[in-house]
Amino acid sequence: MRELEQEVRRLRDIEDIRRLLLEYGRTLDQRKFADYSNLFAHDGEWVGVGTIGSAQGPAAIQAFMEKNIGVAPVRCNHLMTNMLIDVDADSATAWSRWTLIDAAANDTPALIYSGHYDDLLTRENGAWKFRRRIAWVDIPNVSQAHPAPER
Amino acid sequence: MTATIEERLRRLEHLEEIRDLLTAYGRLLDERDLAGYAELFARNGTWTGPYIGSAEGPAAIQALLEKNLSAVAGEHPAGAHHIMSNMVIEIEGDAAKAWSRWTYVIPGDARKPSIALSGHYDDALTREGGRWRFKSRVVSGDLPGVGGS
Repeated sequence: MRELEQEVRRLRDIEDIRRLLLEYGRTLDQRKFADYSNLFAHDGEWVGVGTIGSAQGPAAIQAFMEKNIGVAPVRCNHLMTNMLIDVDADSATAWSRWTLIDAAANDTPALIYSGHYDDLLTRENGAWKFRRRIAWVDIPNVSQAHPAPER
Repeated sequence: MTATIEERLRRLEHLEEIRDLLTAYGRLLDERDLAGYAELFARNGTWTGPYIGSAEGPAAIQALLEKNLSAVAGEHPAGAHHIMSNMVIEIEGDAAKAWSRWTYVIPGDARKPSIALSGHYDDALTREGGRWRFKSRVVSGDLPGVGGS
């Protein structure tokens, strides 16, 4: 029975982490950076490889995003796909893809950027949070010349 | 007969493992780790596609892709990748069927991503060595239209 409970817990953790990865996209697109930054652990880091830099801790991440991305309403859409999640007790890793869709000519949707995320996740006060999210941009290939931060 | 708790739980575990298999396929393909990619197929697993023919068994599938992929995907430009979505999975014992969509994205004009090809997969899956693997994967190209089912 104990093994059964552990397996149920692992499946629930995977489901909760999928939700976290989706909430990230939703709060980002809505420019709700207070909610967005609360998806990070107290010492959680956001690292944009070859792009806008990095920030650590929810308050700093919120300020960093408000400054670099802005809070004006937008209609852009991050498609979040290809999620691979591995849970190990109270920590986890995830790999996933993002594709940014925004208005092009004639207000039709078009792909603007695409890339992937490498995540370290942690359970903090019972909720899954980003311990570190590394955002890579694959098209255009701006991240390629930059090394990944050390683990 | 009503499924036991254990059976219901196992079904959820299997769905997760199969979703991982379908997603890992895209990641290994895009990273051009074709040895890792070929290991996703069962011993007698088959790959059938509209672009470069078909092959049976991991070694032959790896060789087919190494030989022919560049002809289809050009130079596989840096950053090109597959979006994997719309996964429909049905499990029956140690066998399963899956249907899913793929969208191949490459760098296009003005360095923006551009959809080069899109299609779907029809899969038969089997458990081998305690893991789900492709027994047969049929790749269809929907846009532009090319063969397949």
